[in-house]
Amino acid sequence: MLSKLEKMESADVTSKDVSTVTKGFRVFVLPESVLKKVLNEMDLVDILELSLSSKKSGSIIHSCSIPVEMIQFDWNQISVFRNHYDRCDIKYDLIDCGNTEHRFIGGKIEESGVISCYPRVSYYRSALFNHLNTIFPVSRLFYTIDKWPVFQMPHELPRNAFSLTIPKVSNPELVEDTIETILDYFDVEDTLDIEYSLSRLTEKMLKVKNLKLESVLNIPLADFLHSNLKKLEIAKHDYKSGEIRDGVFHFLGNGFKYLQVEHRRRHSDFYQFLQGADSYHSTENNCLRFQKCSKRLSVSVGYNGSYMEFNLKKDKNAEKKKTPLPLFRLPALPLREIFSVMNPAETLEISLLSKRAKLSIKSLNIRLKRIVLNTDQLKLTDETDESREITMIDDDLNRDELKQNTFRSQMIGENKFFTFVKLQEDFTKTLCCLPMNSTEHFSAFTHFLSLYKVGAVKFDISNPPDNIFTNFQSIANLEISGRLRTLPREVCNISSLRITTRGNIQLADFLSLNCSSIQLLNHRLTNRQVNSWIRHWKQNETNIQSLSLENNNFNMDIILRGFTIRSWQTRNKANREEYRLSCAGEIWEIQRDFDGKKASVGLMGEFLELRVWKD
Amino acid sequence: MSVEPEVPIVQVEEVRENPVLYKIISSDNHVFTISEHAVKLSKTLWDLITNLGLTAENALDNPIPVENVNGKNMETIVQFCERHKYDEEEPEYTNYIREFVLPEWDRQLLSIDNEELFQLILATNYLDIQKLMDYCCRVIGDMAKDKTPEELRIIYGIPTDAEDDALERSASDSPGPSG
Repeated sequence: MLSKLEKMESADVTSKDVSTVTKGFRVFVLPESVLKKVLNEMDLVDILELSLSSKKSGSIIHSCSIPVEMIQFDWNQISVFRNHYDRCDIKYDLIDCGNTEHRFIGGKIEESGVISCYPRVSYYRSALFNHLNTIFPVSRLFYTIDKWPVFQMPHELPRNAFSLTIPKVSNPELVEDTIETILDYFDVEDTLDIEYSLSRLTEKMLKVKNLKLESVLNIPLADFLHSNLKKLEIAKHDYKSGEIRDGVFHFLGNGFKYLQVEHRRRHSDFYQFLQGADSYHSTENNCLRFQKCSKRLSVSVGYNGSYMEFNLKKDKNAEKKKTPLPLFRLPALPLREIFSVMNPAETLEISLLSKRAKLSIKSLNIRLKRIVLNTDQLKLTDETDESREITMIDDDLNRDELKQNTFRSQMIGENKFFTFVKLQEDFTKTLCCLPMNSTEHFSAFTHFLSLYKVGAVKFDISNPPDNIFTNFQSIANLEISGRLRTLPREVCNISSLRITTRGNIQLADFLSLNCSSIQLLNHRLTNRQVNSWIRHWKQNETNIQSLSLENNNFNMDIILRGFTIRSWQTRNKANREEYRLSCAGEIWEIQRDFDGKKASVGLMGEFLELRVWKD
Repeated sequence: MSVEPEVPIVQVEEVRENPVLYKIISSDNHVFTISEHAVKLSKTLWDLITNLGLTAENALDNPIPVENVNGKNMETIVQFCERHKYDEEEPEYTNYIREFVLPEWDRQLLSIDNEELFQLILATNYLDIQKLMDYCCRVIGDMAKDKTPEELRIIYGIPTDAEDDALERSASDSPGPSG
């Protein structure tokens, strides 16, 4: 083979080249160690040229063992990677050209490092590859069989392949006829990637480390078990969920490290899929993890496009850091900082570990920006506006099934909850906190309120149990959307209260409010009742600074009847002008009896507003 | 359009280079030298230097003893301060929770045993080095990621209620200093 290449090349060597060789520096006379250093300094393409100058030069270069990391071969290109597979040093473009005037290996290297070659017959393509493989000790040979029937005579190429890829081509019938010959010919060490349907597994296929198959029909997943495989990827298959699940349990940790199979979204619920496995949430790549029986190994499961991935991982932290970090022995300042970088769900987990842990966290006064409570969901937003949703009811999950399985359960107060993170199909995560009994879900909300210093709460529960209001005193800002029959005492002193839903709350309840700011929407207060509320303000000492009532076609004459009123004015001119502009109609002023504080009463947008001024 | 004159980088470096050095002695009598810019990151040390009236002339003759920090932690702290001495001051945080990315160099520096990390955070708290405190806390906070409650209990050394009760009982049963 080499001699044929030499013959091809010798025809192109000019007399000038010959004189240069004879009169120039006699590089091949150098001691081998020196020659090796010289060759190491040369570009691969120059070494190749030198190797073609004579049979002896080829042999000397071969003996110098200039290492090459990898050579990649396909029909149109040979790529040589000298040091690293990330950086290609030379690409030989193998161009179909009947023009025999072209030198087989083009002399010109383009800027991109591409050298054009013009093999006169198909045979020369493999001849160049073989020559490169002869003169350089190549660590890894990569084959891409992308032209058929080019390898009707594969024996021309070295059998040992690091990687063999058989991609889809336009004439698949030729591939199907000869693919088994190709697979039998090569001894693939690492990766076999076949984009064709396979009907049987051969011994050689099971010796590779990574196997990627486009389509597998009638080959049981268990047939892959007795193999050297570390990684198996199957795009199309006819496996049922149970077979995949058994495969995962049998394979991973048993030599296998990675399994990827086509994932049909209609069977998408991981939790059902992993029934019985002790799964827990992983922050990596939107996946779940579950424990493997061997120590310090866990399997992460996640979506990757339309595939499910199962990935075996060693828990590095568990190996590296064996001594615990006694968290609650730290001073308050760093402890507060640490909890400030954790998300609410992590803080919740730690608070549930012991009474002392909860008390310690509570004493840190960790802030939470907002909690929204609906009948089926608790949404926590921290100071960075990152939200965590905690689902209270999930119709997809059956509590009886949960009880039978090994889902994690935790006690919140007296109640038992199943907690886990559910990965949605849009990759958002929801912390599920399902109570063992459906009536107990408010205790989780109460727990949060006791744990955090909460800025604002939006409460959208109608006719809730009284005990839910236990920790409401600490809330700065409360919005009630659910229907209430009465106002609990715990909300009376909240700084800012907004009630948006029409309920059956009586006027007496409203009069007990001592909030700084009160806003009522959809209320049923009549003109006379509003008059009574204003009278209540006038005759009593309260903290009310602002009272806004959605306008129910109020009649100001009735509302202000019986008060000594005058046209509103405040000493602060800037405030006065601004406020007057934002109000519609006349603004009146009344004065509180016991301390002389003045409040304006007027129509402000959609509201009737009583506002106290610091005059 | 006016173009601002470029300041040669070399001049900036010259201005930055400060010859004033201070000596710190750790609890186990190791001596460390630290530059003025670096020592300013520790509020405690800088207050001490200011109160002691140390100047460029007498700084090296008057080593500062730090009884609460051992040599190992002090070495880490000096490395950290020297690395970050020219960092731009961070703006005041408006939010309670701080968003930052822990640089790789610092992550490597803090890849230490939990016991060492615990001692380092106590030392950092004592020396009042805000940035190192932030970074240590991030590392400790990140330990909670991807963990089950039982793992959290182990990692953070949190006893169960029963263990806490037992500890409390044994503490109350044991005789006091006088008894």
